[in-house]
Amino acid sequence: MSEKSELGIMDIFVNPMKVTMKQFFKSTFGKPATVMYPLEKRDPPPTYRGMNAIIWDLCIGCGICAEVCPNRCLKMKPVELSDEEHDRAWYGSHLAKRKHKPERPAINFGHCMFCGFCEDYCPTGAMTMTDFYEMADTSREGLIYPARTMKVDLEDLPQLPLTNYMMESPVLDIDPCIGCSKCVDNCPTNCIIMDVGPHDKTLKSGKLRNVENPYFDYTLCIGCSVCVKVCPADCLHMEPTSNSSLSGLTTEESPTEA
Amino acid sequence: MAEMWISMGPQHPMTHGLWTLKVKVDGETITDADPELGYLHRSVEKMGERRKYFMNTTLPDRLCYASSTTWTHCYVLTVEELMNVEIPERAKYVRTIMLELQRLASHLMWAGSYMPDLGHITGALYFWRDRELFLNLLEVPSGSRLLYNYIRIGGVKRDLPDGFVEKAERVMKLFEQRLDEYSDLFENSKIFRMRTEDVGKFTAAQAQNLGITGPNMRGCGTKFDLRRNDPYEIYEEIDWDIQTREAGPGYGDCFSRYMVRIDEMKESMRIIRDCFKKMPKGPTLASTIPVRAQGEAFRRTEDSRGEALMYIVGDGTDRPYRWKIKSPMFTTISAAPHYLKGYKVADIPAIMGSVDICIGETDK
Amino acid sequence: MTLFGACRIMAELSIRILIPIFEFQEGLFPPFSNPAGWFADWLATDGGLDTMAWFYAVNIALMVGMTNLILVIHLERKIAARIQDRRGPMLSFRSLREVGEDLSGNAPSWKFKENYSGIGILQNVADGIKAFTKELIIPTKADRFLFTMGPIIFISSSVFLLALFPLSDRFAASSAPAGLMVIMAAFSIAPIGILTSGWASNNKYSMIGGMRSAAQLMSYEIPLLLSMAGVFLVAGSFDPVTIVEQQRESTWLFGLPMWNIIPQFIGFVVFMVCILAEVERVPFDLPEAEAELVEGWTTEYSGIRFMFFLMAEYIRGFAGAAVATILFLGGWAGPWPVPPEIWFLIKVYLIIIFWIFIRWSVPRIRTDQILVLGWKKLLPLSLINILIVIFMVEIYPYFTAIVNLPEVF
Repeated sequence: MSEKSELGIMDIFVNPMKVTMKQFFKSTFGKPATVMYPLEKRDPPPTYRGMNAIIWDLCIGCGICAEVCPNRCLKMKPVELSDEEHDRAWYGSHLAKRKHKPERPAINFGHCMFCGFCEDYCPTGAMTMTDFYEMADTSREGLIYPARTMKVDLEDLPQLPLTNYMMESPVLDIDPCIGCSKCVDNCPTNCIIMDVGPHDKTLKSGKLRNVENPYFDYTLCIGCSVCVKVCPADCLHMEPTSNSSLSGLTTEESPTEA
Repeated sequence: MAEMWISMGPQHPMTHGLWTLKVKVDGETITDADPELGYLHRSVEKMGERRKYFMNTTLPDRLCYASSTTWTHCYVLTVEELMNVEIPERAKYVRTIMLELQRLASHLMWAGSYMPDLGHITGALYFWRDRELFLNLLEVPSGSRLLYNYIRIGGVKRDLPDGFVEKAERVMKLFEQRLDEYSDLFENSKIFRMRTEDVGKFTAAQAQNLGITGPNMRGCGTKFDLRRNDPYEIYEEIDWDIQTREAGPGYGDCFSRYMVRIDEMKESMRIIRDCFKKMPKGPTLASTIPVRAQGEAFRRTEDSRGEALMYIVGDGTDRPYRWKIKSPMFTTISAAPHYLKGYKVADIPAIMGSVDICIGETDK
Repeated sequence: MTLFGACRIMAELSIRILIPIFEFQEGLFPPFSNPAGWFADWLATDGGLDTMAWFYAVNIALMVGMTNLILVIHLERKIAARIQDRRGPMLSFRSLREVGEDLSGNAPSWKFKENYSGIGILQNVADGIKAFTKELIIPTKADRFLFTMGPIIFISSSVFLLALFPLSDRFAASSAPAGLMVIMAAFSIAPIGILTSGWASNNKYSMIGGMRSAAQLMSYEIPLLLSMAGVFLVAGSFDPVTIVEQQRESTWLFGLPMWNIIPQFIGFVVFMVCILAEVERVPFDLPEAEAELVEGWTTEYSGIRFMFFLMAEYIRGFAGAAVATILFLGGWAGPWPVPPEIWFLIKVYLIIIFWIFIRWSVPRIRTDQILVLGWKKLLPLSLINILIVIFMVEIYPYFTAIVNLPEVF
């Protein structure tokens, strides 16, 4: 630590001016640090979290992005898909079978904080974040982006394995199950099948009938809990995945990077 | 002139946030002070109790926007203790690197905002220019410039990309050169010394009694750093020293607090370099990450501003039952009357700036 | 030919045009147009001629001052930007060259050149337009009369300065025998304006700022005048022209010019510190310390009143540098091919650039520290300077007359 006595009266301006003079000549004859924004732009790194884009054919409409969004700015909205899109969709065959319209995420960027959870937790890698950040708009309504506006079509799709980032899977409580098969209709990955269950139930007419129960293929399950939400009898609940090999997180490189 | 109360804030250049400092002045001398907090309360704790554990990492990011990674890290450490998660070795190193980069950026933010308090705009722009270097570094793995959301329960979001080490070395070399240059502009400048020396003095004992921690406490000569005294991540295995500085026997002033932070920046770069050397290969995210937790846990970490403590109670669901945040700045600002009395009005920004105020974490 | 002489000729010419006009007006509607005739009669006298000449001279001085003001502001902005590794204002007439190129479609109807490669002189125009069009706010409980008077006192005393210092022995609006005393008197009117506006704003920050200005005045004004006293002793006059002539004539070793900075270096240092405090630039801008007093005594002012304060400060800066040049740097003295007015401006601008560098290199000093500096350091130093001058002017020639000492001074 330099002592007080070291500094003389001339150090009032001599020492500081040495630095400022040097910088003055450096930035007069060199390039100043300023980035002249509208004319020149700095390039964001490839990992940059900018505006979202949906790789259209990979999206299966599971709603995990809406589930993990901390700001609830992402909502699943029904979208009309053309026949061609149905054909090209990864799980299109399953979607065609469903009774209601397929859903795709719509984002209100006025509320979005670009945390990147929707990208990280997307089981198919359909939700991505681009390096586009100039999204200013003159109205709040202009910041609500329907799914179609974020649509991206890729030539060769990266077919990633379905990964369960949610670390949870549905578990059936067999007694209340009424065998309505709503969970099968709504499962975005078609990992549920209905099969003969252990119980018989008495119908109103007095007949005994065997109730079909859902069976889960946990290798395909992505933990989206859609089945839990649609279950009319509350017979499903989520439980932590016991089988860690299902999770894609064990691999050395995180799948989000690919 | 009779004594009068001056209300500085909530919108005043001195405040660095949103709070009010009422000072009673006799002419230019401060005879009393009364800090008022609570203008920036966003109920972070309550919001956290409504969200799942993993979604909450975005909230402590916003506690202190100048030092977001350290707060997220404190939350994640607490949750990991609550859930008994073992994180991979490499993730610990990556976390340490990110924490120290964040400490550098935070201290540079402080130094930059301290200089206009003394009427030195150039210093602000110099330090903020250098902060950009470290923001660029933090941006590469995390993808964002201010609120990183990089540290996750069970590890980090992604591994450090290729070329990160070389880029970081380049930046640190440049910054070390610049720090040497700045010594002429600041600590060898007579007026800077006149403004900061013998101003805002408090002793080490006072700091302990009033709950002032972190660089402000080390500026009084107390050798206490949670990275060493209650180690987490891999601070035990890294070569580094606690930086202390004192203005006189057992007390510190604005200048010693300034110098402690400058020294800590140099020490942070030493830690980062050592981490690069010792970093093993391997995964950066734990294989299984639970989503539900039961029980209670608390962890304290060395934030850029002092001792950050979080206490979380889980009731078996996937959301915390209770989340309590202890901010180092809350106690430091509350102690303001103790180190403001007797100085001049012109010293208020010099003193309040030197303790590195962050209102986001104070009001939560 | 002096400036005043030129103005006199211009006045004579214009009077020859004006007198017939007024006489024609007199004949139009007598007796209502009689005043025009009285005015024509007055113009024909010597007093009328002098007044017209003064009118021209003062206007020319004002124009010179205002042009310099814009240049100083621009210089400050650009140098500050370069010191801080920025570019500063970039928009000038050159960069607007492609205005109106694409007027159709949704694209903007005017655009800038690919790079804003101007020097940024338009920034001053933009600032002026902004200040003129802003609302003039007067706080409800402010003293309206004094609140309005504050800026008027400040700007008028500063503009008055422009008429007082000469750019050379021929380019001078006025050359009073007590010229520098009048300049210093005009300089010390401004703190009254600061105190007035600080008190009238009914704001605690403003009041503290005004009080600080008064305290600062106490501390720097005495060493300032004492350091100037040395120069007056050497020259034997308060007249800027005489002071500069004395510096031009006295020579040193090898016939080098001995400006007052060489024998009176202590006085020069004291004067530079004090004049910096006088014009209230960093590190001595305590009255408007933006960190603790928001903007000090200008807190409550807006629009053109605030702009007046800023302009006046730069005018005072320019005038202060001019006084320093006259007193210590030999004024307009310099080698022949460059005209003396240009020499004068070169020296003034060198001082201003030095001040700009200081302003962006050091923090602000504290109130009690400037008092300590003024009373404990600068006052003794200026007294030592006077002692040296007395020795040099009075005692040394006395001894050289008796003993045959070499002729150094």
